[in-house]
Amino acid sequence: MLNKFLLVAGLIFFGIVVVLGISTVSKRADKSEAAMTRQNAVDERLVEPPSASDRLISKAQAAIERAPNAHNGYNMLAVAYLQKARETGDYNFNVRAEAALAQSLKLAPDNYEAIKLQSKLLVIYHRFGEGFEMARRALQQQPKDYEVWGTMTDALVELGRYEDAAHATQTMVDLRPYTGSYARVSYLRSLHGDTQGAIEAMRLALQSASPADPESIAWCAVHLGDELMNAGKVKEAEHEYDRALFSFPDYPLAFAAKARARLAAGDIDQAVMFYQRAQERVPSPDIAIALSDLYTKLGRSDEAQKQYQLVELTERIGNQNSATYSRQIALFWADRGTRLDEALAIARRERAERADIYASDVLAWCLYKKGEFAEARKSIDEAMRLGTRDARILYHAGMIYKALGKSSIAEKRLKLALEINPTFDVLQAEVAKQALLDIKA
Amino acid sequence: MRRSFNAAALGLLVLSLFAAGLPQRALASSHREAPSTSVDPMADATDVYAFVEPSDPTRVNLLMNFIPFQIPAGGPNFYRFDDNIIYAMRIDNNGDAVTDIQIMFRFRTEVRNVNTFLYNTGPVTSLDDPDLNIRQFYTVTVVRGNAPNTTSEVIATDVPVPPVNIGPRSTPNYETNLAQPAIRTVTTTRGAVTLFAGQRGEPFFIDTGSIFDLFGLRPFNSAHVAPLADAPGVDDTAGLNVSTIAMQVPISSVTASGQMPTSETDPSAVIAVYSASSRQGVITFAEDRSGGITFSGNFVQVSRLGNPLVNELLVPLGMKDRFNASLPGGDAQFLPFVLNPEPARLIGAGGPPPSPPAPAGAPSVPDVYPTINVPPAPRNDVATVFLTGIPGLNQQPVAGQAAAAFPNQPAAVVPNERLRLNLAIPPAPNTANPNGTPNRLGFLGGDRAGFPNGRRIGDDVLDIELRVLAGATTFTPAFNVAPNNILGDGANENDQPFLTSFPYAASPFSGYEGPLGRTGTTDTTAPANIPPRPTPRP
Repeated sequence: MLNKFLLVAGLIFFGIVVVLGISTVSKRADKSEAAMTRQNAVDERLVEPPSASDRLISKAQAAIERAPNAHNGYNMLAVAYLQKARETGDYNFNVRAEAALAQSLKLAPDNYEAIKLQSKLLVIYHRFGEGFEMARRALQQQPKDYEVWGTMTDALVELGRYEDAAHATQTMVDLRPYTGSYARVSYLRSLHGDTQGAIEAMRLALQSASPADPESIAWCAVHLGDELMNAGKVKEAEHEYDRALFSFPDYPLAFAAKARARLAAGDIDQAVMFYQRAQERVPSPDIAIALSDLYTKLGRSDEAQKQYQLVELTERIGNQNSATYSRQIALFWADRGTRLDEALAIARRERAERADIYASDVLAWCLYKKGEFAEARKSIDEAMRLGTRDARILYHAGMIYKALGKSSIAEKRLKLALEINPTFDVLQAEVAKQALLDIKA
Repeated sequence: MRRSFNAAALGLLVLSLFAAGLPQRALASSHREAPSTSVDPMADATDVYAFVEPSDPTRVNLLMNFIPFQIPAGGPNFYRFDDNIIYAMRIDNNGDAVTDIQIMFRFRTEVRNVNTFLYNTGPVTSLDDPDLNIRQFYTVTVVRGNAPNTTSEVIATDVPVPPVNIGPRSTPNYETNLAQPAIRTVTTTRGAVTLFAGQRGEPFFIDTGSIFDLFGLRPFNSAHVAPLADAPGVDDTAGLNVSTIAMQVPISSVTASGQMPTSETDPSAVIAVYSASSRQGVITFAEDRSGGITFSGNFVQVSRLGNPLVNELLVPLGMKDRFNASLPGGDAQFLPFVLNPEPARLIGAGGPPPSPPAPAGAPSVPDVYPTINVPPAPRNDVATVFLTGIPGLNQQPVAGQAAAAFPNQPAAVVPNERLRLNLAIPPAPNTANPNGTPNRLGFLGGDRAGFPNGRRIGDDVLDIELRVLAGATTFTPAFNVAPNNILGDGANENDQPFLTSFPYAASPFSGYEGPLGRTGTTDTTAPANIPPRPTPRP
């Protein structure tokens, strides 16, 4: 898309699904620098014009050549590789960005831009504790850098430090209201169960997204749609997903969202089609899981099996990415009652590293599947502590409380889960419905 | 709904594209100068123009541009103003560095048919054509006085913004059908005000490609420390559009005296202006977590601009955001960078060695024109041009004393970065011509009605500022010699003629005419035929 190539996107928004998805099946993991240079040379002759990040890479390399002992060129290179990673979905460009930053910090150990970029990169790598520390270091130098406050927000949310995250978000938006800060306000509100507030803030973010950065428009539209789904406004949600696809065609996040909306409308065939289109762009595990469930439901068992194998492949291949997908894998196994010990081990490890509500949720579910209901209950209560309107968490809570004989609480939770989204999961939603019937009986 | 764990796990990541220590790739005078404005183009103030109306010297034109980098073929997400921003022209008419009059623009977007995302569903031949689906309107409020004693007057409500220029099918006869009818004149308590807000062809012209390549000036390529053959300059903003907010007001409505100035030395003769964009803040959680409270009421200033290129060339990278968020009254904090300006250090060594070191926070830079010498720091002359106005031209006299912040600072003038216009200096003859100016070199060309006394749309501010920085002015006569006084980027004029009347900025390029595109073929059955990489410009 010509716009995307010609316009330097000052605001680079979420493309991490793209970034991380392809890496698991990428065969470029072991490519050497020389081979990469050859690849770049080959790329030069392809039809696509050089992207904004390609031009920046060239510029940075020229700057490094001119002044090999100045850190600025390496900073520029790191920024370029980070954008390239986002544009291509190839995770290995993040690795190159990291190398460039290491060199920059070697040459100038306290240079601000490198510290700042490093904090962002650490968050991308899911090293949230380290990312937080690096962001704090950056803020010591520039306490009013709202972008660093944004990175800090992201790290704190993922660590489950929600009070601190809310403070960081407010600081960020006080310093600089714009799409990036409005969107974070929306996320904090959503986590705390304030669906209406989340919708309003994401509308602000969408209105403020620049037409010069169509991906940011699409990103905001998708997330606005997600919040509308949480509020039960399925038609309005789908309208936003359509807006996303209109603004930025082929956006994988929008394809997956559109699939969810079609599912909610009872249109399984279209749901499959949209998930397939998402998968063509970015083969991430949650798409494969959704497809495997849908194929199972449709009786297309060969295709279901292929998708299932893709998920297993993700688990085997992704060593540097194991942090990224491990929760999904653990949930996947727990849902199917397979490899439960491994699932529980992953969940415990995750919870030990991070105290966010989703870590608690995955742990609760794995414990439940292993019959550890008391411990499961403690964990699910932790997961529900913010009042988040998350159908899956509420479903897990319902099942756990049911197992403990607390029928009326269980019924409330299961009902709310299905009220929020009756199609929150192809297979588990059925389990939820059945459990409700059991309780009533 | 299975939440994508990537989305949940990673939250939102915003990556700034511009690394530290590098000059920003800015197109017009302040298009992309700071990391934060680069992420928020709709708030990005790019240029301010201020000049007495050539056809009626009792009126003054004030223009402010926003939203840089508009590629005409920009669909399907077309450019618009942001409803969540206050766009303001701020005027100080008594020289105390505090805004006395603020003209504020707020926009409102309306979608005719919410069932389609299309901008237009057929040809749009008038501003209220039912085929225009996404429409924008603006309201203008004038606030007078100093807080908290201000009065406020809404002078215009729901004035339409023309759609962007798409092409001959969507927006035929654009200027006649859509742009001209969007010029509105309203009656206010202080006289008639003429207004326009909409897309225009980018009026700024500058060879950014060369300037930000280690301060290259193509006509002087051979004198550069990394020499190349001398070459014509390139207007790197050619073919691009911008969004303009233009107003023409009676001079008596902006002067401190409330009258036309009686002479050039009338204390009311000079106004100092700048543009600012502000976004409304938000409270994350209401007290009782009830939600639904969207705004906190505090608008946060995110961009400002007075003189062109100040944030680009003078303010170091680490301070550009601070410049944008601050008010001119605090500009003494940027004094070191004005008194020892980096571009001057790039152009030439400051007199005999040792040269003064770079100010704290600014990197040391190489002398890229070794054969050119510039005056040594401190550059009071540069501070005069940008921060206080030139005595006898556009300086505002102030009653009372202000402590001198720099040597030879004119008495009682608080240094602040604004564009200063002496309303009593008559417009030069032939200002209303397709060049937008009879003399692009303004004051340095002997034309007192030009930049830095205000700014006309055709003034070559880059060349003027280069020569000021090189010392080619009457302030430093020893350096007012060649080549200092002939420095320039070789881009001397706009890529299309300006209008000869309000709003002066030219009609925007349409997406269809695609000035930036490369022509293909009419043969849709032909295979792809990749041309060789174009020969680089000299």
